[in-house]
Amino acid sequence: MDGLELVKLFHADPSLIYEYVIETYELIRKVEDSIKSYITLKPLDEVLKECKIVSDKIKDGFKGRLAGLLIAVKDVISTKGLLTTCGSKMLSNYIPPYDATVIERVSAEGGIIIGKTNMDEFAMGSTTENSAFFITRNPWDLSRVPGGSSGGSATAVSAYEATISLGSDTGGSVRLPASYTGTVGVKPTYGLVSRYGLISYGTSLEQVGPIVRDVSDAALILSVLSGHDPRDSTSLKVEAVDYTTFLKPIPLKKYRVAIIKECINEGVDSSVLSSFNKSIYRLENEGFEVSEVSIPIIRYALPTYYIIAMAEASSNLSRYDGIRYGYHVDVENKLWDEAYTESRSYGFGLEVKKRILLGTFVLSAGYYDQYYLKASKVRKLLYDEFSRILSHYDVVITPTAPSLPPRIGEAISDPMKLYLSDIYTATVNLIGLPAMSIPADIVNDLPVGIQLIGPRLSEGSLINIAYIHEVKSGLKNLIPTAVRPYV
Amino acid sequence: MRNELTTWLERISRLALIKVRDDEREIVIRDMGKIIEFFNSINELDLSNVEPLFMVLNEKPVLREDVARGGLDVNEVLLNVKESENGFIKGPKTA
Amino acid sequence: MSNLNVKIGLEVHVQITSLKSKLFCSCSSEYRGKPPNTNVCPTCLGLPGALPVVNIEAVKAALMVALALKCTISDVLVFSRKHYFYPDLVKNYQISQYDGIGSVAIARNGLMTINVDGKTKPIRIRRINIEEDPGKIIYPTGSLLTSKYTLIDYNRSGIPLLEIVSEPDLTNPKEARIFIDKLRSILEHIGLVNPELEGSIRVDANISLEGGSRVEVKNISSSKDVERALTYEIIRQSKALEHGEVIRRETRHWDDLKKVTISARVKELEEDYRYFPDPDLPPFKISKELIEETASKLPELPDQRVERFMKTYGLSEYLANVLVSEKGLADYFEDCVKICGEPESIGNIIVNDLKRWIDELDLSIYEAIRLFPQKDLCQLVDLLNKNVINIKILKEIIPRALKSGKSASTIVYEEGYVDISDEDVLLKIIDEVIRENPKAVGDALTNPKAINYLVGQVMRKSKGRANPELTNKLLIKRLNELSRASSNAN
Ligand SMILES: [Mg+2]
Ligand SMILES: [Zn+2]
Repeated sequence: MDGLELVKLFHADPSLIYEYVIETYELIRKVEDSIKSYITLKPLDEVLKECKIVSDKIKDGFKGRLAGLLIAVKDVISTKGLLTTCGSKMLSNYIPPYDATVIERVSAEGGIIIGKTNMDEFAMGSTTENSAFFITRNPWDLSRVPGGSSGGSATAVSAYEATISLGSDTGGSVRLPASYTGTVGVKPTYGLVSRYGLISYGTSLEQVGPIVRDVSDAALILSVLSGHDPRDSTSLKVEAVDYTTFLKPIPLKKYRVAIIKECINEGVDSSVLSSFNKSIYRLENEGFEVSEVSIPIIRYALPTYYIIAMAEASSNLSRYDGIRYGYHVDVENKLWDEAYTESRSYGFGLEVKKRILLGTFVLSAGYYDQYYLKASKVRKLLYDEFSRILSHYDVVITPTAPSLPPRIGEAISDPMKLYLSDIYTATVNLIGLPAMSIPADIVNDLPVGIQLIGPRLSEGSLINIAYIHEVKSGLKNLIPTAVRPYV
Repeated sequence: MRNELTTWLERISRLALIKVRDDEREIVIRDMGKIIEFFNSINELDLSNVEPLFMVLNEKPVLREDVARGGLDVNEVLLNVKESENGFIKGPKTA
Repeated sequence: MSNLNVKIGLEVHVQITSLKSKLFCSCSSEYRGKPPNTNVCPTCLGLPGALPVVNIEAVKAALMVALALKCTISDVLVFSRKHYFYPDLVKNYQISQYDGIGSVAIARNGLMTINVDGKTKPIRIRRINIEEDPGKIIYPTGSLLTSKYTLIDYNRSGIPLLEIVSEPDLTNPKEARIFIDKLRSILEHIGLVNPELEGSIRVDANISLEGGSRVEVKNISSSKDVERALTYEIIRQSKALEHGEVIRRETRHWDDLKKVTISARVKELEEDYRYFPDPDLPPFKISKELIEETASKLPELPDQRVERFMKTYGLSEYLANVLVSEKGLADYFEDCVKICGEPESIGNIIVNDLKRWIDELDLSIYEAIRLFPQKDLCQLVDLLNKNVINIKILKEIIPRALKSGKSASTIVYEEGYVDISDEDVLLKIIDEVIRENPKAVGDALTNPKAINYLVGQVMRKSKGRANPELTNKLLIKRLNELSRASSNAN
């Protein structure tokens, strides 16, 4: 049963919430030790208290759209009074005194935050091996990574340790782990979901996005998260949309699909490619018009993305000096640059340090023009190119990742290999488009995802297309191997 | 290249106030060499007539009316502060 | 000093004190006097995930100043991040503005004229930036050098600042002071700056001498100290140059207790601010409508007010300029004129006496007005016109009022400052003087000009309280009587 159906039941009989919560905790007890989705898991009794509040409200007529659902939150999103570490030693004791806007919205609809999920430190990584605390394992194959950086959010949902989770997507951090865990992940249009309270990595690139087990829940949670926030200057002034109205098994319009030649020609695993083709065939059968387009410049998207992400990261992560919060060193008799260097050198992990250093480099005098400025120009070319293509097509479809989930330790040893897993996802962040990853296939008991990219604010159409694909493929509420013995 | 990398690592470390440990140094220099080479691939493009795009445009950015509202309680401010004195946050020397 | 070819450029940081809230968050702009760290929110404390949102009124204020300084206004508002680490800076970057690709200052290429010794001199304005004020660092020992750590109060963090930068068109310290005073007067007239608030204006002064390099003196908090600091630097640098020393490019701090500049620690860190457009703050189009709306709200500015003072009140250019150099002073003048007319004598008294004492006693005009309100000056002028007091007494009462806080009338009536206009009392003194000065009386009988000596004696005997005109009249009367009596005797 998905979240949308559960909430209907809870509205009718709020006592069912307890049953659902207790069952979920039971499952967590069985699988969490091997998967390790959570950095912080709220104790059951605390969550039961929150259940009581919600169930009492329901009895008083409350019709919260997430009433009683357990929501797992990536540890990059600020939660008032609840440890928020960003997967970093730097913030291993940090307790935000305020809630992110998305948390306020989830709570206002009766969603219950169950805990904070593991992630690559400061969202820098694609495998969740870069957490300062521990690695998270893929519930489909415990020897493999779940993808990242929102790995814990993906595994929590995939392994039924929560119904909905929130991640953040700077270059694919929601879509990639969704693809690797057989779940649905959405990267909304830039500005559709508030970033207030989302701990910044690449400001101009990232959005909070949900990970769920089927398209219906994606529509549900996206309806709650999206909409204007006066606390975020980049928030779009758009009316709230009920995306569940797009959950129709037939196309709401005649969809024209573009496939990017450059994304299926080289560097793609054959199993990924055949799964991708199966999906395209499914859509063609539903009357979708599919064409191939060429975007030669896309091969420059990844270096462009990393230059910009690292530049912004180096700036955003300047604030960590251990004085107001974060990894603190004694300050007495130390000059500020000494104290700060000490705090930052111990507080940050190696990948974060590398990215801050490189980001500082591309912004520094003498290199700004050559790297940051040039990358911003390539960004413009990509923007124009995608705008052109999306004026002719309703959706661009690519594989979400070029390969199946790598084995633990396999990708992390080589930065280029690690960065390449973002090759199809990162372009979207550069130009602020909405995209989602949906399950396309299961190959040798490993999920494969495809990515749907639409024009700005086309989330409704993407949901409709994803829903049609889900109905035709039957790929929803998948149960990964590690969980099968318990459900 | 290696020498160049070592020199700028020095300089960038001072700008970013981040030191890499001696045992991390080799990895950092090696990885950075690779990554910068990867970055350099955009030099293949002629971008002389292209306007940069620094962020996706938002036609109507949010602005705020000039209204004052209360902020955090001092105990919330000091919640994550390790050293404080009479409400002041203790900081390092500046000279 | 003129042969040293001194070039001075100023960076004036002005807090926009007319706003209710900070630049990027809703915390109160009234941070002064609050317990430390009680006027902050996630945004101005730089907490992870908190975001800035621009206070539209701060933008309007900057536009107003840009128009007043005849600047070219940018068509787009862009904020950039300026990166440097310092304990007062919560994000370790300051949200500011910058001229570069993708970044731009809100206004550039302006002009402000200053009046130096009766001559008008144009000073070019390079640019105006909007930026956030950092927090405040307290040194537990009171000294930056001896403190083992710092104490930080972030209440000020995020207060809106305008950074107004001049071209190096100023050639001596006095011009620098006049520039700042004029700028302050413009800001006061626009209503953006409450000059009563301490620390609302802070100046970085750049100075170079022929044969030397640019030296920056940071963080000076008054125009008088700017003049002092620059004078100190000219002497220091010219002496050094005379001794064949090299003046290196450096930053110095102004020690306002010792009144000297001190070399800042030579930073091993190079300056590299890594400016780039702040992605948290999308560029905002500055529409023609917004500029027109702002222009329509622009009040009378100092230059216009000087002209009006000359035309309407018949004041000299000098008087008008001095009065308008501080909005408070000009307002005081106009209030008085409204109450009691007499613009010329009021103007003269304010400029020659009141202003002199305000400066001497180191008061602000606002403190001075509290101690010596408009109606008090009018009352004194009235007493002067009625011959109850004379001009000399009036001049003495002003400092007494400013020092004691007593009202002018109290001083006049209770401390015996009243002019002696009682004829009987005066005649008694006059007769005494006549008795005591037979020779002078003889002179006066033959030479009417010699009467002044006798008037002086009466004034001395009356401790200056004798009404001079009445004394004169009565003396002439008495001398005539004496003359008649003597001719009768002959
Ligand atoms: Mg400045
Ligand atoms: Zn604030």
